[in-house]
Amino acid sequence: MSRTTTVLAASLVALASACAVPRVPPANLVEARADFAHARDGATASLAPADLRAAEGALRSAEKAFRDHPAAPSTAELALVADRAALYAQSQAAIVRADEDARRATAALEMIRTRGRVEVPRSGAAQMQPSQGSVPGR
Amino acid sequence: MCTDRSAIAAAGRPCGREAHGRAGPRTNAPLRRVASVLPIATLALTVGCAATFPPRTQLAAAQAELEHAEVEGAADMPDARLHLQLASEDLERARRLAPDDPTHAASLADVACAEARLAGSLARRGDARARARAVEAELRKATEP
Repeated sequence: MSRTTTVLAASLVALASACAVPRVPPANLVEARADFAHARDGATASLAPADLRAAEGALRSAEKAFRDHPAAPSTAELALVADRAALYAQSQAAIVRADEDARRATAALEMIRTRGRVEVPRSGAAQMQPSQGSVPGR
Repeated sequence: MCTDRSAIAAAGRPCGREAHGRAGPRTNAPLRRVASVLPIATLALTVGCAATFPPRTQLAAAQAELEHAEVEGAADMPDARLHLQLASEDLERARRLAPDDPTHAASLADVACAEARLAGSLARRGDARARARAVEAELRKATEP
């Protein structure tokens, strides 16, 4: 009796654990998480904060859809929208960075023209390389 | 995201500016009143239509974003062109699906909108980097001994 109860309890625990294992997220969601983390941890947070917040909201919607309806087509589509939002934020940040570089260089040129000497500013554009060529999630 | 922005922009922008530009000092007040009511009415109409035909707003927003990306020169830059093409394909699929499955069509239109938005941004990024490189090259030339 005692052994039967133990086996039954162990089986129930195993079954409950199996059911509790999180389902595998769609590839789009995995990429959206990675691209958002890349944007959040890089220069995007300071250069394009509003776009980063929008990307965070899109990712939150995709995560909720995955929790509520993991297999629905709309879940994968929301994840794709979230991924594109994260890439958009990175791209917007790169635009801001490139514009700053151009402004600095223009100012330095102006100094050359007026004073005849200048300290060359360091470019940051080459350090930001979001989404070059590949199309994640497709 | 795309839908809200486009709907508000479409509703609010042109009416106010036209009214202020053409009106004389005496006719300014009534025209201003009309101009202030028009965007609200347009927005209400848009929302009303959207409630009846779910994907219509999303399809229109995606189409607008696609055209915007084309104007930005997305077709001329490899990174941007890929996303522009995906946006175009998604929008086409959304249009085909709209009569039978409006919910899925709306979802696909949102994807198309996000793709087109990214394409436009990548095109602008390419332009901005090219401008920066050009000025920096000019600067290097100027600082060469």
